[in-house]
Amino acid sequence: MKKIFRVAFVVFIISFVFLIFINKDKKPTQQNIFRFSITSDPPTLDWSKATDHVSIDLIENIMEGLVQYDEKLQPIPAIAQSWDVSKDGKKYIFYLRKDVTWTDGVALTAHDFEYAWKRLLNPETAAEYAYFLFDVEGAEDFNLGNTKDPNTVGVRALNDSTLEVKLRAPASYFLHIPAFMVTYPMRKDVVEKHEDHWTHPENIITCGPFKLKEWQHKNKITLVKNEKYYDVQPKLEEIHALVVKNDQTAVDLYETGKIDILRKMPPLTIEQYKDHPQYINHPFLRGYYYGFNIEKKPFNDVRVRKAFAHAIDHKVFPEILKGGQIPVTSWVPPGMLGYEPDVGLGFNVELAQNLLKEAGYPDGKGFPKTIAFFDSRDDNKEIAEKLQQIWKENLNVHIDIENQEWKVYLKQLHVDPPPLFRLGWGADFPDPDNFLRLFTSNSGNNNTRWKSSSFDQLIFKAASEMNIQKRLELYKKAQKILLEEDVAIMPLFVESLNYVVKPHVKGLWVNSMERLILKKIWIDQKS
Amino acid sequence: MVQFVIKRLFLGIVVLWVLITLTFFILRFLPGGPFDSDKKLPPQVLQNLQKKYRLDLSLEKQYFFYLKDLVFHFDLGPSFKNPDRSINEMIAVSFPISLQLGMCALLIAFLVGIPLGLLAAYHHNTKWDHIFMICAISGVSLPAFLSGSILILIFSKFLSLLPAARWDGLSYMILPALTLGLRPAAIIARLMRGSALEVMDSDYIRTARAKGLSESQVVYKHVLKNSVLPVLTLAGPLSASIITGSFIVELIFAIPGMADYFVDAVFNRDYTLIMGATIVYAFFLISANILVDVLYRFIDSRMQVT
Repeated sequence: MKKIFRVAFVVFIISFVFLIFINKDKKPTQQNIFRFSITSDPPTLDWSKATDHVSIDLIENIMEGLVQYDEKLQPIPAIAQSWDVSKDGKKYIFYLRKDVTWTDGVALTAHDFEYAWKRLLNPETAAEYAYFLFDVEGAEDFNLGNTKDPNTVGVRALNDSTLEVKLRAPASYFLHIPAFMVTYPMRKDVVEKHEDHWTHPENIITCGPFKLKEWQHKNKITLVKNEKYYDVQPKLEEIHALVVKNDQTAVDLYETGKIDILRKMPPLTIEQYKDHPQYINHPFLRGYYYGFNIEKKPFNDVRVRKAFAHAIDHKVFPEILKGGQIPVTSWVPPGMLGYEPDVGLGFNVELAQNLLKEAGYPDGKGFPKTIAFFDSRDDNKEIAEKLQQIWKENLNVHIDIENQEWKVYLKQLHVDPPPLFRLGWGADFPDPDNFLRLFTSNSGNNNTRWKSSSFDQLIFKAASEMNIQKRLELYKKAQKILLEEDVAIMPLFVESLNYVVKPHVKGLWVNSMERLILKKIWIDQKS
Repeated sequence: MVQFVIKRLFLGIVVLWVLITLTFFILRFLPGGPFDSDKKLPPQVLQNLQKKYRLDLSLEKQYFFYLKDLVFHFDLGPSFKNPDRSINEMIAVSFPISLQLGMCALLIAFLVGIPLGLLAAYHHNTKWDHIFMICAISGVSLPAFLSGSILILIFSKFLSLLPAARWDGLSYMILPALTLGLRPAAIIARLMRGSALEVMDSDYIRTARAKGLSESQVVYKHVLKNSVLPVLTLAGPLSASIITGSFIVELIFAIPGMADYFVDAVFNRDYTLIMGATIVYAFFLISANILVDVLYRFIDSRMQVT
């Protein structure tokens, strides 16, 4: 018996030494490689079809469009060096740079944009984000299949370096649209030759600062510097995007030096890094709200809705979530044009109780059984429980809470919205139109059943208003209707980004659209 | 024998067909679809998508087309969430990784489990027996996310010996294979001990000893060979489940295998991906069971071929 244990011991020691040996062949970080984690394999790198954050993170680094964002998230020239807008705001002419080439050396032309836009709208592409271009004349009809003729769409290459875009109505936010990846140019010959496989590394042709070198599915994506990039050459040689789904695993990899940035931090890790010089907290254009179904009792009475909103002390949310969330009563988030911190119903228990009394429920007596719904997620649950407690303490009403799996929840919201429900909204582009159009009467994302023609009119008027001051006034009025007069929703807070970045990463631009633009980053080995 | 194998194969195909049919219809009755998201699609965009994926057809027609593609072309269809890839491609990439990981784990399970169980039985009711069985019981009861995290903490964070996660070479395999193999190793050890104890009590072992065989001959020739049968029974389903991957282990070690297809695909309502993953899993489970039944007959001649 003793012999067996002696053998086992020797085997153990040998394997230990072996472990040290095989681990030693891995070289430490090479210079100028930036490594970050992504939460899944990108569903697609086809920018007509991508809709998710992971794909966008990669596409934005291998492609560029007519315009790009500056540090204040305002559109500035990229492939288009300048543009003209007609007086009525319905026609845009983009003048393209003539020195832009694709990774295979072919010159980029305005026709590549025309093709990409029409492909996005083509019903056969079945692109989810086709609606981004619905402001373009004829776009919606073509996507709907009302006409089979792509030439009815108001986008046209006048020559190799001039792109004309006609809108169906003036849209003051329109310059944000060509900054979004679905409008990036595309090579007709490449897409048609390789069909569904055109985004594979051996086929894909791009024009951004980096190019796709290798795609190990669900494991790792390698981007390398694009030598043919038209603008200043990026400083990084390579980018490694590692697929790591589990947030805690990403923390392990960050702490063992295998990735350079942590972008999704579990609450405990945030606590741990809070006072660290490498920690970054930045507002994120994503609002979190509870909506009412205003057709359902007891919320068909605006006084009840007001009472519920007044009863909430918004300060509690960052306290429970601990991620630097910003409490708000208004809907357009800070960091975006049109943010009005004073709009919305603030914390006022006395007023809330009076309103509830006026509505026929003095001290909460006789308040009907009501359920608040949310989708199953830990943070949502904590907030729902907190709200339940707040309404009990301040209004003496008992609200039941119930959670549903995400897709079941969405179905319920679209078919029969519950009296009280949680939702969020992240900006597609940093303009108040994107946040407020959501609650117009015909919006597919308005689950409140609330319809207000005066609100609608304000939003549409603001969209065609080119004067910024006047626009801001219109949006303020609209927010007051939505949040103070009719109280269709109660905004609770705006989410924030929590990053930890290794000190050797320099030049990172953290922005409230959560875009990871890597062309200006470099690695400084000394720090 | 041949007749037996054919019969089992036929039964396997029937089981597979029933499973495909059930999965197909149960999935469609789940509320919510692949294209529901927090940003609701305009109706015409949704229509375009449904047309592309044949979701606009009646349910029976969809089922018929699916079965037709599967049987005649081995085509598991396109993925709803990954528009550029087919399910065949996705499984072809991820399955070998899960297989590799599973094989390593299985090897660990057998190499550790069988000797441990045998030793415990041999030293029945001594301190070794107790130590081994405490290890085995902890192994069975420790969930993978805990044992995995402990291993990462020790070997990656404190000792910096092994990578904490990912799949990039030999050294990356050790921790996940260990985590995945621990539980089956413990199960096997317990089963082995029980069965070896029973065998050691039997008359033919006493006879073997009586005729003067050495202890090692008794243990290896008689005890081991006769007590390994129940372990073999377990081996079929065990290998199928280990090889198609363990969701938790692949998740915490960020391994690009196929285990998460079962979970994520359901959340995403990626119908074809759930179907594909289920079919592959079922195929392996059924094949492993048939294989074990056949192996039985080689190992134990007492078994009747029925």
